[in-house]
Amino acid sequence: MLARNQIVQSLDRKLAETPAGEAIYTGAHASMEDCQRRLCAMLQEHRSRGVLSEEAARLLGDQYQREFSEMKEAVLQGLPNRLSELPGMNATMVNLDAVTTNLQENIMRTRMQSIDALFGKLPRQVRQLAKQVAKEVDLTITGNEVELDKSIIEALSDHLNHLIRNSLDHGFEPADERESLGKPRQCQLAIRAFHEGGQVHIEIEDDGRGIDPEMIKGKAVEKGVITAAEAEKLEDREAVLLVFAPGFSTAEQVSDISGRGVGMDVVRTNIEDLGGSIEVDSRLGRGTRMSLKLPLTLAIIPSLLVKVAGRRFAVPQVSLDELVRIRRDDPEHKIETVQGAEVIRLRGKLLPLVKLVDLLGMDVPADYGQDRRATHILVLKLGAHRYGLVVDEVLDSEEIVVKPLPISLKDSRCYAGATIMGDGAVAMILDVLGISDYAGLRFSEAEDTEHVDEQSEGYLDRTESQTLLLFRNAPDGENFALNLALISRIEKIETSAITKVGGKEYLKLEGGSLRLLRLHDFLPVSYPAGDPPELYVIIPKLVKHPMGIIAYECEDVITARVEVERNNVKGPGLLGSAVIGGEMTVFLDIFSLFEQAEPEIYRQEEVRQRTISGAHILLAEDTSFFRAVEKKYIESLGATVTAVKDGREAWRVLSEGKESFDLVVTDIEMPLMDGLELTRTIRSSERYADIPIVALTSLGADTNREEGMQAGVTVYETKLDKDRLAATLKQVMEEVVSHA
Amino acid sequence: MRDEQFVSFRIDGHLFGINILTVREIIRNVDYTPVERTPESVRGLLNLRGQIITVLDLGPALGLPPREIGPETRCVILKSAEEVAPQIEDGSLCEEMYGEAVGLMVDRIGDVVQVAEDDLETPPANANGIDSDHLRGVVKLESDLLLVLTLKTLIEAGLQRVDATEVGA
Repeated sequence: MLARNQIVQSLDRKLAETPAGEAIYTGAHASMEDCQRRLCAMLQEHRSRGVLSEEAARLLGDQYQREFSEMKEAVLQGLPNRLSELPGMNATMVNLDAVTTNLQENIMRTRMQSIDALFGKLPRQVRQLAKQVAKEVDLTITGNEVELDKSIIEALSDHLNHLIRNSLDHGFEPADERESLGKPRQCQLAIRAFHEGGQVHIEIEDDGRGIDPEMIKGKAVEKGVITAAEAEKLEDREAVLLVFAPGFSTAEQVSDISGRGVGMDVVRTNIEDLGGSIEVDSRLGRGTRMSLKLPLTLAIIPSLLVKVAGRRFAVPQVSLDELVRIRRDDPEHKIETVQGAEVIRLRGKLLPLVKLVDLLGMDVPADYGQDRRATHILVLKLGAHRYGLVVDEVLDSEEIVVKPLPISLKDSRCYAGATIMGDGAVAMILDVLGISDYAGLRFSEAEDTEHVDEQSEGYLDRTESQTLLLFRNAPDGENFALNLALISRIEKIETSAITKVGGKEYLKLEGGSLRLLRLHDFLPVSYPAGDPPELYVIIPKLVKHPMGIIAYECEDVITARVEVERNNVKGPGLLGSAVIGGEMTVFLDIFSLFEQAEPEIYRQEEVRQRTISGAHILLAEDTSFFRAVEKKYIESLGATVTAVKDGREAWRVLSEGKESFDLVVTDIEMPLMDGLELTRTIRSSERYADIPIVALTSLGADTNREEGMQAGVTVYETKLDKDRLAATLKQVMEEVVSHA
Repeated sequence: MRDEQFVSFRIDGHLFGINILTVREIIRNVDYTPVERTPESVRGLLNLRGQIITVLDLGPALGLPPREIGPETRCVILKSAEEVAPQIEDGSLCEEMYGEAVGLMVDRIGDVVQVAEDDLETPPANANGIDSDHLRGVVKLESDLLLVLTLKTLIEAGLQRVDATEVGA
């Protein structure tokens, strides 16, 4: 109950002093006391029973979740606006938010179970199966401690067995055959679980004969899954994927172990139903690796809340591609009608639109939507297809607890579930697929081919999307964008709270003072005539000397794939520009902006960093935004940078040998050739076998570093952490010099 | 001889009754979230202390107009079949229940009526204009006719009829 005490204490400090706060405080206090009593009672019950049954654990988890949302609601709603204007109240609220988030994570853990429940049974099962097929198997299991939602673990059991059976039965050669192939008699089977990118990965890898693409093609043609002509055209990699095709089972003979008529297609469908995916990677004669990616939990999903005709709906973030806002008077982006259907042009492609209010046939007043200045469109993805859902307002992203639909609503296609909001009201979770069916959307063949072209071109579909904060410096000034990954937090402040010292502006914050800077002092941009009573301060992270950027208003937070054009807007402090929601938006370069604002601090560091100046560095990064930022960082250290957009291109540049490089900096997840494959390729080459390789990972991704180290990565570093990257590069370069 | 207790309520002026053991509670809160593109009788979803309950209006299924919310409108929360099972000796009530707990919107709540077994009469073909398929029986009270509902078939009938307005594709 530490969290609760923290909340109470900070509320105590802020509220007890003011007469207005007292009543609210008493209320909030009482409701939290009540919550605590109930939580304690539940815990007591839990202890008295000794062992918690599975069902009880689940109920307890759900109960906690409810108690928590009630408590958060009680506290947040108990604080009227007046109070939030109290000095220091914002910081308290931020703190409260952090504490409650922490609490939520704790609650979520009650639903989580270690995968050991599943893995623990495997050694025995494998031993038995191995005996039946008369093969010797050496099983290694790693990651028993990885935690997953209980319901996923339960659903996974059969499929994991299926995959293991496949490996034992089809994958491994008989011992004599293995010996003649120069493999150890004992078959190696590795099962791994680990976290990466907010998902749980499970890998099953064998060193058996691998999947023979020719054999697969033959079978597929025989079973009528594809035609002989189609088979000709398939690449080996694509052919291997045929094992997931419906009605495909490759067992030569139906045996006891596998080939029971349940195909891999069933495994794939079920894994996908759980919100996961399965991939196969096979090398003929060398082995097969099945990779499963699963969500951590089914019960709580990130979602975007939207409002239509005064009601709230939740859209799962996983289906959301980007948000588009079209201003009413925007001549460039208009809603057009093509063959009776409404569409917009988005980057040259037609996007079919569904108006939620019409689709659901909601009751609306006669003047509905007449005073609206802009249209909000959620671009939703359905596999390769996209469509736009028109809503009135985009509210917030929120983690929601998914409640299944009541039986009485099971036939309604538009909803995937329901959830209870912080204020106790029920909101429907929209079903992205169901809505497209219900609206009768037909995705044209033309669009499909376009999509294929796009993929062969390469990047549009696989560039990582970025979450951006959009804000303005003046009422009608330029739009600015900052990647949310670079922002620590945003504070709403009273203009009067700013103090001026020696021509510089400061804000008192959490006991310290924060230097503030205004964009128009450093950039040639428009500035407001005067200050409004309230301003926003954007506080970046990953910088050594934080400064707050003053914003006149914060417009929106969007997630989108944006290509930043670097040529039309140039200058220190600027990265480039892009068109977002039909408006030109300027991307800021925080680091060079700060260097301008505090040249003394940053110049000292430059002197120290000279050691890597003159080095020639190859940078491989698929996301143009990160590519631009990282290139700038490294160039600011005095090095020359050649930047490429994937591993394949990086290897081409290296192997052409026109230029020589001292260091490779690479992203891990890239299309065509990822960072690990690039590393392996480089390590196996003669010329660059010893070149230092720095791998960059996204913040917070629990990457499988071990695999990277085995591949030959010299050191891992976090993206966008300029100071650490500089230190690492410097260190790596010094080592190179001392070796030479 | 056994007595049976009925919770009585009014829908469009008619007095209906359901066995008291089928009722979990009666709430004033009809502040449900409307849900469109659902069967005709579904009005929306209600948060009952963390459980999501479907609010049904049986009016249309009984051939009566849809409910309008007034100061006396109440929501009768029915138990699910599972909830009823342990409480009764014979299984007949269970068959009466819908698979999950639902809420019935009613115009006004009446008294609890105690009825002797013999007083529950076979419904006439058309009692007060209500289709006898939906009635288990009728009870002649002093000033009124209490129409005892067959819950499950009535609820299912209401859920069959899907909201007719389709979207123009």
